[in-house]
Amino acid sequence: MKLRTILVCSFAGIVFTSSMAEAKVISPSAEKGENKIYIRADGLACYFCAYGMERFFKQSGKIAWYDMDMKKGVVEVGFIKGKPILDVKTLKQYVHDAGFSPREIKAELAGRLTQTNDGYRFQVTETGQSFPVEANSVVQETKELVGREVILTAIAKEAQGAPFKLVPEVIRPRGSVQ
Amino acid sequence: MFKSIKPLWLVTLFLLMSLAYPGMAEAHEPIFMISHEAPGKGAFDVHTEVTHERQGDERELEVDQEFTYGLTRDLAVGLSIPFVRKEDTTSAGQDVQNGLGDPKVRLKWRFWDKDLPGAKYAVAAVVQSTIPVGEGDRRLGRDQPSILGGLAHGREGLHWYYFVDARYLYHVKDNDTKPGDRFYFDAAYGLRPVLRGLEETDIVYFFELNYLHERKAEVNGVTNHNTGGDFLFFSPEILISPTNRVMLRGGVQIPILQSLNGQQEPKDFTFKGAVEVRF
Repeated sequence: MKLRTILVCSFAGIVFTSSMAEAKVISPSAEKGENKIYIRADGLACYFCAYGMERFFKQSGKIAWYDMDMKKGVVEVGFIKGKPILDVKTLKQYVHDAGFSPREIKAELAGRLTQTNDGYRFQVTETGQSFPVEANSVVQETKELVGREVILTAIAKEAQGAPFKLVPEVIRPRGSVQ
Repeated sequence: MFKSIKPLWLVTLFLLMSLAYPGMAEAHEPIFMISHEAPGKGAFDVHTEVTHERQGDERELEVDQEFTYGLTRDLAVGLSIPFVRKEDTTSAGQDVQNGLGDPKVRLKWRFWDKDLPGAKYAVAAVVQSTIPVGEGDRRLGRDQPSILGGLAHGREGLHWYYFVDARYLYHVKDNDTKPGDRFYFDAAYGLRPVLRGLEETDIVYFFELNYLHERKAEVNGVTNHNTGGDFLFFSPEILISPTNRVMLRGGVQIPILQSLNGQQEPKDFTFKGAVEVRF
């Protein structure tokens, strides 16, 4: 077969048979965990330009997969089972160093909401990490779920002495339909 | 070494070299101008570019192997190594020369940017200098450097882009010989008709207008009045990213207006193709 033919076929193959998968697995041998982070960032306009974030995710050794919704400007990150959740400062630094502007970070975590003398805390089942939780109206309205296994969706804010502080938006029993 | 290697094989070798290193250019940058984009901190791009130019009986094929590294979020350095083939057809026959051109080092500093949902505006300054390799055995360079300085501004968005730049290329005099300095002004509009998902093939089209003012050259201290002029080109191109780590770019620069000094052949089409791989 002529070299020119090989090159043309290879080019066509690369262009037209690229994967249609929505999320990108970056740690194929690692088991995916239940915990996720959603990073809203400005300046995201192309996947090639945003590859820098993927490099940082890989280097962290904690992230199993990620996806990007360019229209919403949101990067969804899934953690490797058992690996610690990255703190807000580190995640924002990844986005900044890749060339974009991080805005809000949300977390979707599986664990147990507990009440202590100092307020509420959330213990993540897979990692054992414990984060302070703001006692807002969402917590007050779902007090019956304290002590039970739940899925917590919350805004993650920088906090002193902890990877982040959680401001709950939704608390639902684990295994319930969203 | 280069005389025994046909140009097609040389191009193929470098294209394959780029593809062999999955995951190290300048992203969505129009192919005949500079842009404000920076690859990001720690990013390493390997970029192979092939350019074919023609003016009258002179043809030039250049294969540039470029390496770019992001020192910080907004500062990038690059090194480009060109391999050149020159053909000149005269009444006496065809004169062919192959060899190493002058490598280039480049520094780009994106000193302002503004990020909005789905869009980025930025301004960058670029400084570039050649490293003279001289002319001789398998070397087709100069004995003095050529220095380029420029500014680029643009907008990247989900569905459309714009870029503008202005550059000045200054040639240091080389034994009383000096190619004409050049002033470039370029503008481009880019369009992404369909926004796809991560890992799906992304296609962007660019349309450039390139203005070039070239000053007269000097040979042995005497101005050559049959060189230089003003040129306007229209350059359509396509950028294809089959994955978020590989970009294929190709375009053609079409002369639409030429105001030539003295007696000289007009410029012909310039073709350029490139492969970028990001680490």
